[in-house]
Amino acid sequence: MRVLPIFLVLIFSACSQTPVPKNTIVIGMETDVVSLDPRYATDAVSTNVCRLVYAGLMRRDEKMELRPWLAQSVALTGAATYEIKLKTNAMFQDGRPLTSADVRFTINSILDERNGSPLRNGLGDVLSVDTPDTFTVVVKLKEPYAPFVGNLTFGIVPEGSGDLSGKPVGAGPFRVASRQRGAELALVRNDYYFEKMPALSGVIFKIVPEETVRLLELSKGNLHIVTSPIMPAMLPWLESRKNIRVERKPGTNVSYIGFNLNDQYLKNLRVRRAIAHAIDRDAIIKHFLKDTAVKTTTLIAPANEFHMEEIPVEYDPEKSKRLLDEAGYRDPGDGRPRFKLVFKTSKNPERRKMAEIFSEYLRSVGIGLDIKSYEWGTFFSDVKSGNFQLYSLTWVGMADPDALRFIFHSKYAPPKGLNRGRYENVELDKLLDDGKTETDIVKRKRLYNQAQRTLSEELPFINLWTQVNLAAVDRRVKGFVIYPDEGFDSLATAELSGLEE
Amino acid sequence: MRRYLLARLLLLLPTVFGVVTAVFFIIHLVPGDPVEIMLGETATVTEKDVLRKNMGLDRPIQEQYFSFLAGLAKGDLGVSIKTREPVLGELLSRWPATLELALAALLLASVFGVSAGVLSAARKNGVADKFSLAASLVGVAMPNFWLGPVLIIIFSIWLGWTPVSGRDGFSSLILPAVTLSAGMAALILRITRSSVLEAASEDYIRSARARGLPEWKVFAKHALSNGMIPVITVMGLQLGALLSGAVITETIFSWPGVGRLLVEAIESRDYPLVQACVLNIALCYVVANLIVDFAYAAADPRVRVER
Amino acid sequence: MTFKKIISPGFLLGVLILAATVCAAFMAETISPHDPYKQELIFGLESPTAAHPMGRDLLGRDVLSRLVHGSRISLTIGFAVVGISLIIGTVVGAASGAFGGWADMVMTRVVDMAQAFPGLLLAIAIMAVLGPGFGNLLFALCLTGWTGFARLMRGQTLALREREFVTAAISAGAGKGRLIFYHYLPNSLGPLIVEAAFAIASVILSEAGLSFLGLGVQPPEPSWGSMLNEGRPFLLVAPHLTIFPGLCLMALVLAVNLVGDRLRDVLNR
Repeated sequence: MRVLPIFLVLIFSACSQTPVPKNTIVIGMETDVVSLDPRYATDAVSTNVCRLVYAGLMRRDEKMELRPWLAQSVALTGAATYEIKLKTNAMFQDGRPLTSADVRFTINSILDERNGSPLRNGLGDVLSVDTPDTFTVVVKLKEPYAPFVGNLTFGIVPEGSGDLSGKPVGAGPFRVASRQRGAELALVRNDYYFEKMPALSGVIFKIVPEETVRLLELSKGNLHIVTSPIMPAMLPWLESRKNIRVERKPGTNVSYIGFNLNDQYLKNLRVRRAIAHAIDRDAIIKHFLKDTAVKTTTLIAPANEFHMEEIPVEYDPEKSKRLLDEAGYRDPGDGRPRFKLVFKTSKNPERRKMAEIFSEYLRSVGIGLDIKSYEWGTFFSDVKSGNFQLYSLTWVGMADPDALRFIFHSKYAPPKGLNRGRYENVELDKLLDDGKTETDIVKRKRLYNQAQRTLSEELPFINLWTQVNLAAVDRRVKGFVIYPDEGFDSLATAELSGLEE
Repeated sequence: MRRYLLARLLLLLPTVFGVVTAVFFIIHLVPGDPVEIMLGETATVTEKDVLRKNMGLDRPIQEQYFSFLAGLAKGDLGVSIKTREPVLGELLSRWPATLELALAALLLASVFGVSAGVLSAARKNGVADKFSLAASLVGVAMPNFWLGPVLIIIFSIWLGWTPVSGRDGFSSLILPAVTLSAGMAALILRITRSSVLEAASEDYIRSARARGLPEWKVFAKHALSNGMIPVITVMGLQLGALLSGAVITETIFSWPGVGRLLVEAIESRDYPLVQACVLNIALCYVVANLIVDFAYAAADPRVRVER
Repeated sequence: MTFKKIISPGFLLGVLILAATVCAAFMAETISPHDPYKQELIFGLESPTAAHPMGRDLLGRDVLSRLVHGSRISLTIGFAVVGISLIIGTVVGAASGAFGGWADMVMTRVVDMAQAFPGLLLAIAIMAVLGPGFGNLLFALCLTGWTGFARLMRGQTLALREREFVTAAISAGAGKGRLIFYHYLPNSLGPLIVEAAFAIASVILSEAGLSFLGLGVQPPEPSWGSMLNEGRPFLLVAPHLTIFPGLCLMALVLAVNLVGDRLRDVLNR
């Protein structure tokens, strides 16, 4: 009995309030970083943090334009050979110079099947990686691969590194100082950074899973930045806080409804068109999303140079009903639906709400939509195996239009690719195959314009809207800009003003 | 006494074993592929196969099971599929937070519950009694994901007395502990009250009263010590639940405990992590039950003889 | 024990609230002022007005109507789950206590295991394998709820075994089955009913907890628990979304506890 108080004192005394370091921005996050190795990071949070800790050969700026970072230049020296010249002043966070050997090692470890890196496909069919001198890398591909240069944005790791998740070593503007799993990740300035040093001393990523609590912390000044997800309904409240400004910037995430093209109802183009006409996207964007999205007809976001808006699908319930009649599904006239469909979704609250909204719109044209919400693993598994009729998800940041090949090419049904709806269109297949290898930018744009046109006529997806990225930022923060792909790269040049910090 | 404890300890093992085995098979048979969840979809079939092989996921399930048991015997709980880091480390790094919160909540609930319960019993049907009962009914009925944010708004935002969330210093423990303890305190209050009342009607209590001891002393010394058994039972059960992690409270207060870990592990089908968390939970319940049984045995020798 | 003895102010209040809830559940269509599923996005999160006394939710649906319809679901969950758990639990517990020996040991281990089993994992697993849906939700809740009754019944059985009328019955040649159904169960009704009353409250709250994890009732069906959960992110801008479902939930739990308390007080005399 006497042991207990001593025990308690020991535990409690271990925790006293830790002071926040000076000149450090604190960002509120919903989930923890999963991996700090840029070769293996798949989720958005990990990828964004890796971009602060590691440097890549190329990077994308706030307009999503490709710029050289570690690379001095990248040139196509043969039909399918790239010569990359590195900057000579780059160093890792421990002072070691970054050389072509490190680049070769990184690329090889990504290509090595045993490592199971998700980036492997993005490099095309690599035949060899050579390092003629300390600052030159030559990559030979089997055939031209247009997305190659755009995919050189991954972080470079030191030669010989094992899994870096525990001890990350990069050449980016910041380095990892400490990590408390599930609670916070602290970065500090990398004193060996080869470009202009960050004005900030550090960045802390604090994990706060509950959104209301994140916003409350922000309003109290304990957090400086909170990014999406932010409930649109909370925007007026946020904008009324004196110490916060809300930023909206166009993003690259596109929400869509996916169809199973093998389904008896959905294989009929009229039915798909009817569904598209039944949903009032303007009303949803205005009243429900509070203008945090922009209507779109294509998966390629406006920021991307290949973006092309095509045939819009306007809200027209009468047309919808006519199309359904034409398709042979008459309204029984007694309140019962013409036919029923099942909409599968995850248990994400926003998605469920959206499902309810779709359900109402379809109900008004006579289609009964049953909503089934599953936990993620099961939902995802069903979607991939084709065990669904409709679902809705968001396509995250498509950087290169070649991604369309994985989504719509008939040979890319899961598990090989992402064509979950099993869409088959031979002409589209050819367009996508040609687009992969076409290196002339003008010709390439023409191919993808045609592809987007076909997709918006055929509607294997109903593309709904492009997300507007939100950031609620403390007014003491200067120079922070949220990137179209939700990246935090601008922290490298951001500043914190104000008395306490 | 020692033989009894040893016997109970041995009975522990099949329970833990049973739970862990059941969970192993269930989580493996539930649809969802951790490799795909982890690698994302652009990975090729070969890559997925390779990763599966690396993690030993391509072996038949019985083999995986025995391999798991073998590792367990050595103290190796495996590597997380998601983060590729040892699972035991992840679990242990979050354990102190959960322990802290659990003990704080239990302490609060017990102290408040028992004293209010005794007071209620002593002043039966009086104002204090009615008030306590009303408060306990409210405590039982309030979901903690509602109480939590409300407390934050009142105490952190309006009054500024405590931090909003996170585990950082003693003051950050207060609101989560209060939120978590509300329901328990109510339960402990009622059980204390009723068992004290029951014990109070016994002869020896009446004789104590007859000897002229003040009312509260009668209760505190005699009724309480004898009426404690049901209270201890309840506390033990609650402790089991608390130690396995309070998901909701942890989420709301950004408390880095093991509760959330299990939920996340299940979602990403991170088998080794799920196994470790479940093993942890099973052990907690079993240990809590054991503590309760010890307390029983210490209090009442009759219990030790199990027919 | 006469009927008059049971009645007390608390008991009456509890019964009243329960009756009101049951009425609402049965007559939901008639008493709801609006269609609980009709959306009007433009009026999302509207504060209470004369036409919508409890305001509107995120999709512009009337909160009051959803609460009335939700009573059906919450009550069904509470009574169905507890009913089923009660049956399973008492049978197992009584058998365990009556047979003793090996059977008792095995069954107690099973109860222990079921209790130590993370209910959450079980709920997720069941919903994953069987799919979401009301029936599966009930199934998941039942699987974790029966252990309390089992323990209680076992304790009761062990205590009753020593009583005179039971030993008399045994020496008269009564078999275990007869003992269980004619002696143990009927004499345990008191504590069982009380435990059931509290379990109802607990199950209704569990459903709210499950919807926190996205596993509760499927959209667009309203249940008080899921409504409370959906209102959570809007605490700062639309508190009416949590206040009204929260009050309903509390009132129901309160009512059940009041009734249960009174029953226990009376039965224990």
